[in-house]
Parts: sequence; structure tokens; C-alpha cells
Amino acid sequence: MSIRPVNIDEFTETSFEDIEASVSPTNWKKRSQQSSPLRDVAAAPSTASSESTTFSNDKKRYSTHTESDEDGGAFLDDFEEFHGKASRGEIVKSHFENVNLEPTFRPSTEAQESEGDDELQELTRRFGNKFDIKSRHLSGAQRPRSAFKTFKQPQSMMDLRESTTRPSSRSSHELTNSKSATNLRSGSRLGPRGIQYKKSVPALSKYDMIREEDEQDNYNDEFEDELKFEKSLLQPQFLPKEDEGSLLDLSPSQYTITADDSILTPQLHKRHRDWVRPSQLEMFREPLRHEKPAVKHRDSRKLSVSHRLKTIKQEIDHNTPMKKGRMVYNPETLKWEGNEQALAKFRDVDSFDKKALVIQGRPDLQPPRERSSSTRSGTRKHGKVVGRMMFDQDNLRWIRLDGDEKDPFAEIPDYIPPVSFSEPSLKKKLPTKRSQSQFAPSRDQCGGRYPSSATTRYHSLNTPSSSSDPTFNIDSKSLERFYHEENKWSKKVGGWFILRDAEAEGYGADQELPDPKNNSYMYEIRNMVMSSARN
Amino acid sequence: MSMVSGGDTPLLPHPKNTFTLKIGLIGDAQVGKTSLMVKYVENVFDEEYTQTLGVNCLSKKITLGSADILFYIMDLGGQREFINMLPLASEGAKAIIFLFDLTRPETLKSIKEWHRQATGFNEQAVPLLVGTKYDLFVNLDPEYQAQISKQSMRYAQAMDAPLIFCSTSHSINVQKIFKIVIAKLYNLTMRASEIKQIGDPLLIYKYLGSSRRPASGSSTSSSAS
Repeated sequence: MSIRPVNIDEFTETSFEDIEASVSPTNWKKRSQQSSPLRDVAAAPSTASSESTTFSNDKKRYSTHTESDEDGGAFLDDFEEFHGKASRGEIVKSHFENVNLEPTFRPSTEAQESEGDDELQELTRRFGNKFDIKSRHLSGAQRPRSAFKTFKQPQSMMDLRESTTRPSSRSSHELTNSKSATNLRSGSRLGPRGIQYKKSVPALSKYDMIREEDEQDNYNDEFEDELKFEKSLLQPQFLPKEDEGSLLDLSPSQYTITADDSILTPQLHKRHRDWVRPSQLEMFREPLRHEKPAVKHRDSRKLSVSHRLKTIKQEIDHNTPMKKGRMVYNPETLKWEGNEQALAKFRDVDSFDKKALVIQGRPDLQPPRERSSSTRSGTRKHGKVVGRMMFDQDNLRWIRLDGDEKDPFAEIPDYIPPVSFSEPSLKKKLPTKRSQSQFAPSRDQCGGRYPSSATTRYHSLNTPSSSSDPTFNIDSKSLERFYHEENKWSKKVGGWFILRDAEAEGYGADQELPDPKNNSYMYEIRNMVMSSARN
Repeated sequence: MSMVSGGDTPLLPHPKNTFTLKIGLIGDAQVGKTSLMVKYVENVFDEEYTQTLGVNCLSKKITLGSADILFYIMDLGGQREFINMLPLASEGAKAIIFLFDLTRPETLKSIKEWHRQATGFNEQAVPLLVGTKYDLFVNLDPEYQAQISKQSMRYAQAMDAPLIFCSTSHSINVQKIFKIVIAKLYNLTMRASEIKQIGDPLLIYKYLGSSRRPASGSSTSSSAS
């Protein structure tokens, strides 16, 4: 509700021509308790377009800027949910009320708290500019992005009636300026002394209750424009049910392809800078415009906290069984039972963990890769690992993880391009890779993550010479081929193996994967069946 | 004071411009639920641990544009014996903040159970996953930090909850938690950029928690499929 200082003398100025005689300046003056014309809003809604109204005085400024609503209908029609609906206003309104939870009445006397605050003008201006539901976002045509432009003021907001019984006199506030208040309609059709307030303009105060001076600014800066009219804002009955959880319902073949566990948490970025030191914590500190001297007022603040802090204590013993909705309290386990399906999401997470861990432990699900079996981690700080090769980002080259690379060309002078030599060896590698990979799962499941014998054998096939230089070249073509081969293989056998055992060996301790540990293979089977059924 | 509405239209409701948001704080004992709440509301931090014997309630009003938002924060004692009061903190809440201690991985693991139980009472609430004590977290091994970050990210994804690492004692990301609540509830776009780099106080919210839960008006427990 708006309790706003108004200078009645100014009402004749420019844009108040439409004000009915009964709200003439003299009337206003007499009713000095009236703090704002907004309080004289007539009940009858109007969607007529309006320009901007600004009341201001030396202390405070008040703006009810609204914009033309004329294209509002067309805009709403752009939304399927509203298309063709006759009573859009009702829809929007009910939506607004629904979505925006339970508005409660706020006493206007609190407005006094903000009086005299020098920042108020500035804040109010910012509100008007940045988050002014009344103006731009509810009805504004100037901001076509604003989905709210066709928002009508909910009926509940319209009931700002003029009333002489209203308290809160604010005669000291004078309205010294006003511009184009065409939203103040002639009262003749709106009832006695009614100022028609635009439907799309919530007659909400910007004035009262600015308690959090130090944050208010924050809050409004924090949001970019918006109250976007997204479909999620709409009432659920207008929406198709979204299929939640499908995002995480990946089949094993999908997520085991990659050895990069950061893919599982794509939003997380690897650390490029130095790790944060405790001394650097300051740079993350949230800025408060008025950082309160917490230490100084600590005692009093604590007092106020203890004053305001209410504690609800239980009246019944925690051993009492209870039932609430679908949840049943089990006093023995001290748990609410029910809603078990909620855990399924985390089971997915756990299987993600497994994949990620598997990848870290160089496990068995990826036969082509693990054949080389020496990758401990798919993504180390050094870079990508393919097979037993790891990309050395410093030198931009691939090196062997186990380090015992032999350079067949060690004794050959440099002028011979190494590429020509690498080709034949690659051709050799491929069949080797394939054949060896068939053994890989069982071998690795025995815990032989780094079977040196296999490595040696493999190695000896390719590099009969016993030079010790640990580098050789793989051209990108071959790498690509490796990749495709591997993908093919993973696709084929991706659902065959359960990684649990191998992974649990190494990582079970620090990675808590409790419940599904024993029967999560069922989930794997389920996925396998589902994916095969799909095919 | 009570607004007197005009006699001609008695049917119209009173003007409403304060939105009350009930927020539930849930998590293991000593993760910092009460501290976070008190810090947010009163900007006070106390190192001393005070056990919550039941449910603590604090309210805080902020002004957002032309509307007021009254946060009604309920903080449930983390000890098991108070879990029978979980409905108090979760039912009807518009947002449920799940807290875990970044320095104690087991508290993250508990989130699963908290989440199951809390969503059993309230599926509509916007969940948030908040890791606390970030200031202590940075002292830990980088590899540990990376593991926790990833694991909590996975949890956040599973819950479809924004992920925030905060430090109550150092005023890191405390306000942001509640701003995100507003942003998610009202579909606002926050200006604050996300913090995604492992090791930083993560602030990942843009694509999490936006899928609107069933109706927000009714707090009835509609059974999920």
C-alpha cells in the first residue's frame, strides 16, 4: 500500500487534468492525511494506457511511470497459455497471486521508518528504473523483452480506496512536481473522487519499510530487469508437466564414454588460478553498503537476536510415532519414512560417482583405453589421457604415463621426419589394441590396473628397438581413429560391466556410496534392458 | 494499521504488497544453519556453537522494488531427535535450504536423507544446496576441495538445486543465498555472475532450481509418481 507524501498544491500542474473535481487540490489539501493520490485509487480497474506520473519533492520522489498498454493484448497472445483466453487479466492475476505466494497486508506506518533517509530518493529512483513493476515491466512497451508488460494490476492491488479514516498523515511531504499523469482518469466514470489507477500498476509503496538500507540497493541491483513472463510463472494447469529427472537419466553407455569426469559436473570449471588462501577470502566478501560494525554492537545485536529469535520446542517426545501426509515418523530410526523415490535421483548421482571414480581409477568399463591401463585419471592437471598416453600441455605433446617410452628413433638423425615412421607403427597398434582390449576387462577387474606385463608386451610389438626415449608421435588421424574405435567398443560393451567392485576397492573408503552399493547392479541391468529395448 | 477499503467495493481484497516467504534451513548438526540465519538477518556471527533445541525462527523483511518480501526463516535443529519437527520447517516453505559442512563430507552425504524427507513434506519448495564454512574449506587439500566441489555439484544437479558455498564468518555468499531464493521464486534474473571455478566459493544457480514445482499455492503433499 502506498503511503506517499503528496503536495496537493501541485495537483493542478500539467498532467492532472483528468482528476475529477472531487479530487481537486483543495480536496486534497483538506484531506491532508492522504499521502498519495494512489490512495484514492478507484476500485474499478482500468487498462487504459498511461504515461508517466512523477511526484517529487525536495526530499523524496515518487514515480508511477507506466507505459502504454495497447500492445499488451497482442503480447499476451504470443504465449500459448494466454492465447485466445478471454479474461487474460484474470489469468494473470490469479497467476500472480498464486505464484507470488501469500501477500499480506503491510501496515503503512512503517513507512515512517524510512523518513529522512537521504538515500531514499536515490533508492527510489533506482527502484523505478531497475525494478519497477509498476512501470516498465508490467505494462511497458518500451521494453519489449519485458514479459510483464501486459501484466495487469491484480484486482487485489486495486483496492486502494480513498478514505478519510486512514491514518498516517504525511502533510510535510509536498509534491512539487508531477508529469503527465494520464493514468489518473476522470473520476466521473469511476465513482466519486476516484482516481483511476491503471490496472497494470500495482499501487505499491516504494516508501515504507526500507529497513535494509544496506541491502536494498543490493537487491535491486541484483536483478537485471525482469519478472520475466516465463511459462514457469504461469499456473501449472496451463503447463505441460515437465519431465524432471530426465536430465540425469543417462544410460551407462552414454556416460561411460568419456573419461573426463568434469563432464559430469559441467558447470564446474577447473582451477586455473592458485588455490584460494585464507588470506584471500576477503575478495569474496559480500559488499554491504553499510558494513555494520559488528564487533562494536555485538552485544546489543546479540541481544536483539535473542529477542527476535523464537524457538519452537517440541511438545511431544521424539519417540512418538507420527504420520503426516505420506510420511511416517519412525521413532526408532529417528527418520521420516516415505518418499523413497526421492533417493533415486541420488542413486543416479552415485552411479555418476562411480563413473567418475572409475574413470579416475582407470577401471574396466572402457576396454580400449584400459588396455593400456596406466591412466590413473582421465583429467589430470596435465591434461587429457588417451590410452596410456597423456597429453603434456606444457610441451604440447603426448607422453607415456608409465614413463618407459622407448624411442625407436633415438639413434636416427633428426632430419628424417618422424611422421613417416609413426605411420606403420600405428597400423600395428590398432589390431593390437583391439585384441588386447578383449582381455582388458577381466584383467583389470582383478585389480591389475597397471599390468606392466601387458604394457610391455604391447610395447614390444611396436617398438622392437630398445631405445629409451619416451616419446613417439601419433598423428591426429590415428587419434581420431582410436577415438572412434573406442566409442564403438564402449557402445558395444558399455552395459556389460558393473564397475562397482573395482571402483570400490580403491575409492570406497573416501567416497561414501552406501545403500546402492550392493544392489545398484540392478540399476545397471535396468539401464541395459532399457537401452536394449530402445534399440 | 488496517486499510479501510471503500464501501462501494467491499468485495475487493485489501491491497497486498508484502510477500511472505517461508524458508526452511535443514542439515546436519553443527553445519551452521542457525549461524547462517542469524548472520543473514542480523549480520552477526558468533563462533560459539549453540545447539538449536527445536526450530529457530527469525524473520527479515527486505524491500524489492515496489514490494516487500518477508523472509520467515525456520531453522531446524540438526540433531536427530528434532527430526520429528521436520514438517514444521519444511511444510509450506517456499524454499528449503539444505546445508552441509564443506569440511565434513559426511554432512554432504546426509543431504540425501534430508532431501528425501523434506521433499516428502514439500515438493514444491525450491531447494538450495549450501556448503558452509568455506573459510575453513580453503585450508584443505586442493584435491579434497575438488572432490567435494564435484560431489556437491552432482548432488545439486540431482536435486535441481542451486549450489552455493558460503562462509558465514567471512560474509561470503550469505546474502546471495537469499537473493537466489527470490530470483528462483519470482523468476528474476540475478546480476551476480556465477562462480564456477573449483576452489572458489561456488555460486551456481542459473540452470538449477528453475523448473517450477507443481503449484506453489497448495502445500499439500501430492504424491510424486
